[in-house]
Amino acid sequence: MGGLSSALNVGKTSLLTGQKAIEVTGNNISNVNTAGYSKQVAEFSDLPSLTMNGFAVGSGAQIDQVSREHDEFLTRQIQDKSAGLGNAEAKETPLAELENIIDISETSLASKIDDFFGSWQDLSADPSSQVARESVLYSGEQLSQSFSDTVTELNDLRQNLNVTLTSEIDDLNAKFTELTSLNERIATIEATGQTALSARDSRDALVQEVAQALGTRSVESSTTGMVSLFLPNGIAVVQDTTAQTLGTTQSGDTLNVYLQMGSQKISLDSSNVGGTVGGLLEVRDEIIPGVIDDLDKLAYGLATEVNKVHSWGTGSDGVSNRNFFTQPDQQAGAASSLSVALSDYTQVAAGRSDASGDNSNALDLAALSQANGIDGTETFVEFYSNLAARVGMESQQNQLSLAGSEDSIEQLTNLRDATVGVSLEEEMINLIKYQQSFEASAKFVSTVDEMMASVLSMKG
Amino acid sequence: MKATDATTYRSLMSNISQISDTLNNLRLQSATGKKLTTASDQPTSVRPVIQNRSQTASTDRYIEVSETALDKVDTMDSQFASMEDLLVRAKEIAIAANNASVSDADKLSYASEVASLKEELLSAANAQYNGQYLFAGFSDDAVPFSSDSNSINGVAYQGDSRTQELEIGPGSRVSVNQTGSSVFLGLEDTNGDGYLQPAGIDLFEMLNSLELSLSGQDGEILDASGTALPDSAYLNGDPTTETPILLDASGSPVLDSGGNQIPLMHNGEPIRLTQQVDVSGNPVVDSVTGKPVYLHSDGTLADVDASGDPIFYDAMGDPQSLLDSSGEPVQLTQVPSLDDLMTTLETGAEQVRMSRAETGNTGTRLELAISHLEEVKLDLQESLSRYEDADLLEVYTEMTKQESALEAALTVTGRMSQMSSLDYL
Repeated sequence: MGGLSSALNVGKTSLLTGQKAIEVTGNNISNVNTAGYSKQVAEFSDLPSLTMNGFAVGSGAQIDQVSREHDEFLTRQIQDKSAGLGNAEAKETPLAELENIIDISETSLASKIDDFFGSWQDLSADPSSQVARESVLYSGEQLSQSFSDTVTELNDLRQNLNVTLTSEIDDLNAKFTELTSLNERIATIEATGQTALSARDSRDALVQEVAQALGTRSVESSTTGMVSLFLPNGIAVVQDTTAQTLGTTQSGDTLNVYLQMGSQKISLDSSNVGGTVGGLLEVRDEIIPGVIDDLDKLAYGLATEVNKVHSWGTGSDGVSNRNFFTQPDQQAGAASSLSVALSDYTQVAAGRSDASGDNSNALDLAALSQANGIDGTETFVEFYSNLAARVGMESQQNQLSLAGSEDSIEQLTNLRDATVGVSLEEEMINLIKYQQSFEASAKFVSTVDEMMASVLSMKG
Repeated sequence: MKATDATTYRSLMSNISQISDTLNNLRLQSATGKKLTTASDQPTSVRPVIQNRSQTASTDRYIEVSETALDKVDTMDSQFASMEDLLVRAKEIAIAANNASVSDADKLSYASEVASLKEELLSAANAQYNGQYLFAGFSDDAVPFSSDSNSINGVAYQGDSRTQELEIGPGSRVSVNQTGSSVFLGLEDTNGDGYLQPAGIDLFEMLNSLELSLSGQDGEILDASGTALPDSAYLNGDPTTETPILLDASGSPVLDSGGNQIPLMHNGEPIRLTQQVDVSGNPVVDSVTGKPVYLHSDGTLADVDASGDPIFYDAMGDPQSLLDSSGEPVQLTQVPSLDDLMTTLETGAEQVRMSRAETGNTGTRLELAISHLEEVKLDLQESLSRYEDADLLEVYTEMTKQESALEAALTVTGRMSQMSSLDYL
């Protein structure tokens, strides 16, 4: 055989490939907004030529395969940067909240400390005044209330982080399972020699999401095409088709995060996980406890110094050697338990004697506001301002690194789009190109048809 | 590099959100007027800002305290002024009466004027400010001076000798009150041992002496209750010698081992023992014997015997008790003559003038402190503003800049959809 009917056959392959190519283009266009989608490309090749009457004649075109554009380097870069982004994003809100708690406004704890010592100064000007004495008690109570409110707010913040952590971990477990099933699908499809196009796209996106949440690194098996995910400390959370489970246990106020490896539970903290979970753990277990420690130190130092001076003095009821605040036994927990020990204004020791005009002790107490009461190096207000500055610094650094991560992810995504993303212009041009070739093929078929008609009419 | 639609829209989106974020910040700054609302806005400013607020708060308190102190000082000054006036009048009376032509009856009427001056002095000594007694030391809730007919000067002092200090600046304290013991009784803790010594004139006793002297009692020696001694209490029974002698319980003279009467004189004055008081107003007792500690009128400590009772040594060097039969110490006073009183009156008036000057100095210091503190407050506000307040001009300029950038970005985004390859198909 040969001749016109073989030419018709060539026309047919051409029409079919044209159709297929337009299909691929259509698919690309419809996925222009799909996150993580990689542009698909129809790969053309000519069909083997047949030798006829000594001539080698081509037998048309075919589409070998529809392949997926891929840039391993960029995919990996995006995964790596995602961990940093997840970390900074997770810390942004709690740090902002922390800044509101350790605030620098005119109603901050520092102002309460100033008010407290100020009330002693007022008392020194009028030591026999009941109002001034009650105002000292009141400002002392306000100060203790402020301390305990601040600690309560900080603990609430930790509890809220626990809620976020729990939902984050549920989400991750679902992602692990999905990853293993995608691994399986890809292995199955690719065992037949095909490329698992959309499954790979979905998996890349998923790997990126897990990296963002947990700071994992991924390794792809060159033989099976399956990926495994490893925590920064090298422990595998997903290996081919098996996934470990993350879990939480509540002990007291603390929510512990662990990784279930068979019967073994590996406890996770900010040193061995990264990403969102690592960021949340860091704020919960390091930053907030550090702030509470500092508040405890401040409350303990303040109570101890005030009590020391107060016990030198005598109340207007003639009793001396009384503490103003209930003396905390130890530094830990001092801020949350700070309370005024005096119950009555007559117990306020304004002087060293019970003489109504004796203001000597009130003067010494007021002078404590200028004394280096913390470690002998800082005043109480200075200590607080340093704490607030440290919190601010932490938050500012996080904001900077968040902006940096967002920027670099954006740059990398743009780069990825440039190589593997769908460009509508490009697809439009392809559409024209394939339409033209389809039209040409159709013309070719109708021409061959006409020629055939001419041949058939020769008889008649 | 190929820019896909997604790339373009992503970049535009991130730029627009960045600009709106910046704009939001700027709007917040112009609405609050502050560029520092949270610590992360400028962590290095946090410490200065909080420090500054703390200093402003304490400066406000210092100003308040200084103003209260100034009011008190002003009240004291007016009391001192009236005291000066009445002491001037006392001296006028002394000068007028110290004249041979003045009759005894006139002197007596002068004496009654002095008595009323004494009352005036008492009411000045009990002056109050804000319900608190000005000249009572720390014990400012009780009347410091009350009439006491059993004491030589006619008053009893219930206050103490501690001065109230106020802090009018960091580490800077000022004494605002003067104690009744130093102003009116001339008692001060001159050597810092916590006990009072005579260091000036007892104004009440001075006026008392003037009254007695005008009443014709000058030269007489009075006992603790102000009664003139009987003739038998003088050396050889002769009041003109003005040398009182030691009597036994029955009123007969005690004789020394040489058989002589024993003159009750110390340092040229009739012996007058007063119990020492400490700065807290408490009478001092000996810590070992538990007996009261007595001072002579010149401030020296009285000698004591083994049991702690006051004694003095007679001409033969033998100890003689200075306690009478009822256990009271010998307290003899000689009514001075008008001539002698002149110097005392002048010294007494000088004492009041000195106290007034001291109070005046405190007032000046307080006024200076207040004006200094006001300046400090202004400086603090200025520096706080530098850290905390937004420069509105800068904010508005930046806002305009950002708004044009946002407008441009939005326009470009709008244009994006107008330019499409689809239009050419």
